Amino acid sequence: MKKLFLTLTLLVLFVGSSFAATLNLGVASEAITLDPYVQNETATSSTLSNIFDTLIRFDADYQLVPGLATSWKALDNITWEVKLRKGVTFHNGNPFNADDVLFSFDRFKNWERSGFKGKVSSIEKVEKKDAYTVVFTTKGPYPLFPRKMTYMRIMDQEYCSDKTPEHLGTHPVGTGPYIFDKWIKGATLTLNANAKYWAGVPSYDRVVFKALTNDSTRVAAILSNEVDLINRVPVKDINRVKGSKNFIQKPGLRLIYLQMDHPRADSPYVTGKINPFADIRVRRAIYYAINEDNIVKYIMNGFAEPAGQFQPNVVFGYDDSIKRVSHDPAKAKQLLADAGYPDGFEVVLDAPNNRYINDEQIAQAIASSLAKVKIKVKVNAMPKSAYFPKVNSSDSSFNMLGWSNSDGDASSFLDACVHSYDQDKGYGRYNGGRYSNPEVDRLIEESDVMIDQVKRLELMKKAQKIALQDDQNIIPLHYQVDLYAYNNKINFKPRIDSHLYVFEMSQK
Amino acid sequence: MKFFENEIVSEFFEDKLAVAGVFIFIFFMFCALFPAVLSPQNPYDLEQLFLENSFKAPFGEFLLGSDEQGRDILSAIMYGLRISLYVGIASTILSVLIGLIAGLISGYFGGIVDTIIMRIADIQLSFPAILVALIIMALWGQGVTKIVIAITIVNWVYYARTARGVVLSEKEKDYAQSAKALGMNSVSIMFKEILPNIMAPIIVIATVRIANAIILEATLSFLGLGVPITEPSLGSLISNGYQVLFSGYWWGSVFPGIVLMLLVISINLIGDRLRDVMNPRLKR
Amino acid sequence: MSEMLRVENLKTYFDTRKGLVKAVDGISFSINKGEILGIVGESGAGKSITGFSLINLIDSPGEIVDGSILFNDRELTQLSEDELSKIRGGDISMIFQDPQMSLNPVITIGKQLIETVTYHNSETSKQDAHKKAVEMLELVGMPAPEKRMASYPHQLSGGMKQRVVIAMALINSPKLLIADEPTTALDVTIQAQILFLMKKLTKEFGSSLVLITHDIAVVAQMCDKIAVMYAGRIVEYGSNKDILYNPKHPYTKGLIQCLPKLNEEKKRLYQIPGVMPSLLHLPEGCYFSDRCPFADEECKVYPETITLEGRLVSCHKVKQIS
Repeated sequence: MKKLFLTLTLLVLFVGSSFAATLNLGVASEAITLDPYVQNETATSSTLSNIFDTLIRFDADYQLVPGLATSWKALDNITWEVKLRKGVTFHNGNPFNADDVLFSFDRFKNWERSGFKGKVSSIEKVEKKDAYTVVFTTKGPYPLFPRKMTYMRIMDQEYCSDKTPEHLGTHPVGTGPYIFDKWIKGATLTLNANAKYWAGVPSYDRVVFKALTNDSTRVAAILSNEVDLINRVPVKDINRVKGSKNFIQKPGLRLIYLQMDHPRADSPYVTGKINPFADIRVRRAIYYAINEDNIVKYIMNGFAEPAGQFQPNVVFGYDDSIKRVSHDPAKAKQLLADAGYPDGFEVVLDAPNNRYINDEQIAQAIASSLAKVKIKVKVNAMPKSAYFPKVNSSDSSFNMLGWSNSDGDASSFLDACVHSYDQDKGYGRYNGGRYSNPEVDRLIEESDVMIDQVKRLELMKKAQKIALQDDQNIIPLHYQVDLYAYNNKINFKPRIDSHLYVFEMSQK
Repeated sequence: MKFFENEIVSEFFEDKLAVAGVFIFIFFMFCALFPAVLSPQNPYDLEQLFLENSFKAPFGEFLLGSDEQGRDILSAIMYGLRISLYVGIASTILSVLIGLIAGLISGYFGGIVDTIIMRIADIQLSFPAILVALIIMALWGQGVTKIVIAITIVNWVYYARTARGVVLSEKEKDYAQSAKALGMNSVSIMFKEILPNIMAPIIVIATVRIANAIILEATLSFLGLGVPITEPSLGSLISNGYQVLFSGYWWGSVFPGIVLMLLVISINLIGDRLRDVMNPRLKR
Repeated sequence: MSEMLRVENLKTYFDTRKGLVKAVDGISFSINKGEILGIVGESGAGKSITGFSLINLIDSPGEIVDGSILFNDRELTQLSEDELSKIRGGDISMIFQDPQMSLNPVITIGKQLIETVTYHNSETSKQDAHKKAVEMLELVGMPAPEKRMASYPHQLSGGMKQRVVIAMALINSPKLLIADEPTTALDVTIQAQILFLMKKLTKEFGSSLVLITHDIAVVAQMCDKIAVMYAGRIVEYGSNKDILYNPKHPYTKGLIQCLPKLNEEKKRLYQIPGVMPSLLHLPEGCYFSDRCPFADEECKVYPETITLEGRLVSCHKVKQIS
């Protein structure tokens, strides 16, 4: 048995080396930096997931699985014991142990340029129990602890000790399946296989990330076999790609939704002195008036999923009992009439025009939908650089936003977008509509410290039910769908977090 | 005005192509002036748009098809013509005014004023017009008035140069001297005596450059720097349609493109004929 | 008779890149009310510049550098451009060589006439100006004047155009009319008509006329006084009779000899030998010396102007010749 295994291993190694397999990926945007702690951004995380490991990670189905940790358990309400994997080495040959975790946590939480401080603000400290056991202490009961660990990529303490941040940003050393080779900014990033990877030998010897930011260039690259896979296939080019390549769509984590100005009596971009959005019947009427099925069908070419909640069903906190209301303009008109707007009103809908897929067209279609119930919407579409400052400073009455739930946990949206705005507690940071319900706030806060996952799920479901069904705090539109095209030489399964994790891909 | 009735107009209409140009242009002008009467749909009235009508092929329910919002392309073209023609004509009138005054002053007085105006013109002409317009629009953002001003800034130079050239030769002619001998001051001579003599070449150039201004606007709108999407011109319609051109929805781009082409050709036919009949060298 | 215009020692120089051109170099003459003065000479003698100088219409690089022009006791050389504008086309008007060119080609003649009236008489109504213009066209012998008002210059013949130009020049009843080669561009048959018309009209209007021409025959028919110009200076100046029948200066003599005479049979017309020197390279002394059959050492100095038998003449050899 042992002999057979050895032979197989040798065979695999032999085959692997005889075909110097290279995977070329055409990506819509490249990493901003290769320092894993600077910025929480999809393209950067996608790239770094191949070089670095985390203690705990999400598998392809978005379930938590061991990474550099072999196991974790809560010792009590506020302490978590994590056992570390033995025999793992960094790309430079240094062994991985508890000291690297301590170093990484410190840099993650306390480095002044860290973009992830918020992810671990509820985690107090980490202590070394022995070389392969660490104990984290949280500020209070913190059920989200394992999920937050998926952001913290482990760096080598020894390697980092004498390097400048600039050097670390361009020469990453991790424990991941691929070893950094070279990066020509704006063009290519090359990785080589880590033959000693703890989870097995990677399928490819080399991986090249080609930054193809221009849509047409990226499509041309896959059509001409210059690359094996592209992400973000432009909706308009799907038919061109479908003919000769594999095309795959994957419901993503991003919800596109409409946000309304709740509290202000005199909202800036509404005609008249009274803010119609203050009335629940108006908010609900809008929900009924929007023909989301048509938007998905005609604007998104079918590549989106109508949304009825804050998050798609893979996210912890999804509620089977909440369904999207069906399109019903007559009911919308009735609600508006009841609210005192039989002839509608006029409002400006702010929307970005280069952030989400077909964002401006969606806004136009919403204007068209609402016109049928006499709400006159003027679409004000602008580039994201102008749009987000405007919306974040509440200089808007009605706007379109997206929220990507990368935690895979409902608390992500509830904390940032549903809870009342509370700077001190760090709640409601992106609640630009300033929706506020003390009962919802209480439920969210309670769920955030509830260790019992069953009870926690109930609390989060209840918060969503009140906020969405009773209060109609926002109007969900759809979940975006990630679109990929790839050739017949590779096995590929898209991930829900949009990461291109090459270790999960293989040659055919 | 009898002058025109007697000679230029009759001579103008001797050319069949020019007549065709005039008819096409008048037809487009009519569409642009009364789109509400002629178009099957008001493309700005969102109540009339239904996503179910998205991307309907032409020659069916919608004569020229519909776009992704279910907007009738024919109606959008009529309203788009309005914007395109407005931008073309308004910017041309403005640039003729500015160019004429600058050219008259430059040519008549000469000296340092001439040097300054003509150096500005030279500098501007050393950049491609589209680049100058692009920079201006990128700085200012979209807007119909803004694009009119941007095109004016680009185009006044051509009129200024032509006007200056004509003034330089006209001011030496005896009638200008004789006007001076009759006691006219510089301003009167410039505007009452020399200006009418410049008008022929200016009218010809202006006609041709209306077409040019319309193309420039279309180009800017195509690049997303022209008129806002809520007030689509022919250029923005083409741009809108182009995004789905390769997905099989060719009509959104092609029909506005054909109309733009016909519009420009008709104006150029008129301009060419005007040049022939109004050319003073050929006439007198 | 009262003196209308007195020109004293008028100098108009052009400071060109090639050197100083003394186009008009110290000329003097005077005209009485109703009188006609002929300025005669070859091309380039400075006749036209003299005419332009009278209303100070000299463009850069030219400039009136010295002398006085006294018009009805007003010193024209001292007037501002504004004041000059009021005089030009009002009290003094000018007719140019080529009627083709001196009318604006794209404005109807009616409008041009009306404008000339209203420009100087802002209180005159458009209707009155129109009436005056029609009257004036009738006066210059324009057939169907009312209809012609709407014509453009290119629709008229050369003679008709010159009639329009004359009408325009006289419409404000000027006290002085300067006519620079008014008939040169016209057919010979028309020339006489136009000249006769001008003479008649100036008499009728009581205007004085400065007639600038190279044609001594024209001068002979028209003028009361004659000034003969050569290379920027007046060489002989006096009454019509004195100059024509008893010329003293050899140049004047030459000019008159050039004329064909019907009662004399001659094989060839007389020619003055040589050409007028360039104003940039004038000969030493008398400018005419290198073409003059009488020139000798004395002529190396420019002669004084002397009064002889009722006229002014600048020649060392006058006595010898006569």
